[in-house]
Amino acid sequence: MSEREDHKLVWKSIITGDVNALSKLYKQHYPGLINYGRTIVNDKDFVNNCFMEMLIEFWDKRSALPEVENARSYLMTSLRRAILHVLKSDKRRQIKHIELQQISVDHQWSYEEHLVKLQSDINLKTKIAKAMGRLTARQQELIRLKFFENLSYDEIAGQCGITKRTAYNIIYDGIRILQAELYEDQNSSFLLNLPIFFIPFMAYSN
Amino acid sequence: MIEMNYSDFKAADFIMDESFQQYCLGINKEADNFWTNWVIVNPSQQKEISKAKDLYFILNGNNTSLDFKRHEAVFNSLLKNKGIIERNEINSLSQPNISPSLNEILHENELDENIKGKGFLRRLNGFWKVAAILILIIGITTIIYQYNNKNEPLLFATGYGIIDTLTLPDNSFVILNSNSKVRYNKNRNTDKPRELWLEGEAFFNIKRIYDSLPNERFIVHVKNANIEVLGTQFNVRERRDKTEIVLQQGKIKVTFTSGTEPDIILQPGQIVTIGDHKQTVISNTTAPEEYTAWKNKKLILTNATLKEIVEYLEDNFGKRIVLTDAVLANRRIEGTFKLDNLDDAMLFLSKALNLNIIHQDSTLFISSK
Repeated sequence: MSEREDHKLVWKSIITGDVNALSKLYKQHYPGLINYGRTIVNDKDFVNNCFMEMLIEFWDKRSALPEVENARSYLMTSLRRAILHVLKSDKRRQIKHIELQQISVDHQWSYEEHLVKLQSDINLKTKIAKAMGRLTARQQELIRLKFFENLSYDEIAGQCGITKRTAYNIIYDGIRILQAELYEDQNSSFLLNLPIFFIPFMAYSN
Repeated sequence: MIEMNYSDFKAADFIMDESFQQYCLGINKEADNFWTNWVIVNPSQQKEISKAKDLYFILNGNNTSLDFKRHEAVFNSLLKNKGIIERNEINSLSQPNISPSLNEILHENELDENIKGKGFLRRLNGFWKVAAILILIIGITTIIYQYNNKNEPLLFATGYGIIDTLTLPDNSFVILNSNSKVRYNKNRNTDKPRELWLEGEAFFNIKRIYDSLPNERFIVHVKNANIEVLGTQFNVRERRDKTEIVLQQGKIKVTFTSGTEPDIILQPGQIVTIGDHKQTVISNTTAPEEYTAWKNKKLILTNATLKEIVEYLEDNFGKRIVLTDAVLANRRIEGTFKLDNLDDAMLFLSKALNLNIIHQDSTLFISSK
């Protein structure tokens, strides 16, 4: 069964009152929706709160929910509305701890802007900007759908009107470019700035 | 999972694999188990795997499996609080279906008891019947009432090498480092502030606080100080008679149990260090997240002495570590390392500083090569 069908089924189960479907829906859409919300307000916890409260609201009025063809896009529209609602309403004090430069209502950050903004290391910031600049618009868009919205190759193919194979190839080409730009550079000191896995040590005695 | 030959994969091939992506996100148990295992069995591919992971997290905006675990826990407790799911319902529903025969047996037992109960009531005449039922109802109500009002403190503790997340009744959460303990009241008295007692190290993410309501206050008690939270994220480390508080976001007020020092209101990036006999020190950091790297099982060291690291490892893994040469204590080290387990940590240390490490029972002896 394709993801789209599976999402539709879970959505239907919610309408018919299956509690388990609520947790499933949360899990299915969490990565994509959190990332989507963060292009409006860049605060994971805040976006998660909005997402959770939205789902609970859906649950409370489940019998009145429409049947949807594309659950993801319905959820994205709803989440955007929910976030803007919190921003505008008197719940404003809830977000006073979020720095203002993390909020962007009028224009959402582009994928590239967002990725650059998230890194704290200046070197890495410029590297990412440069690497992303090497990609074609198409490669950027598909990489965004794959890694940022967390769609499957099937879903991407459906959304872009191309075959799964083509979608895969476009993304693969893009990834190869990024990998070359970011890692196979003459400047290996870049790796030192990545605290993710294991890091070489600089040791000296006193 | 589709059988694939991953052994000659490069970083770009791993990152394209959908099960690998799910493993990075931590949203699929099966993928999680597969890849965790795979990485162990294929050490030669570790470099490519870590490259792929790095690039994955850059492209997905740093959404890690830890975020998901934390947020899912909050969501589940929210569902419980709203009464949408019952406590433990998730577990019971995910169990395989009870076979029909077992179901029938359970059902029969139920019928049995019903019949017995009816027999007992039938033997009583009208007045006693009513009286018996009334007493039963009153009894049960009293028990339930008392049970609900029992304000027993709850304890939550982590063992050596374990990091765990605790969600509080108000959906605030606490990530507890190894060998740490918190105590809090289950049913909070709404006239009083929320309170929590900590021994060890923890990161707090406290739900928004409305300044106007005094009962919305949240106080964390440690040995040397009380921390009054004004809605925020911060790290507290209380080990070896020393307490260190690092504020990451928001605002907190620290009052001292000694009573001799004035209260301090902390700004993000500020660190307060309180010793038993030493004076309180306030310093600044531009990277408060370094102090909470342990949440991701990492330790970020900036010019740390070996002595400090050894103490940290002792506190978190519960083994005694002895430096056989006093000169070793002042050797310094810089960098980031994985804190998954003590063996890996020791291996890194021994390579970086060229040390010998000897295990003897539950003690590790470190010497120069």
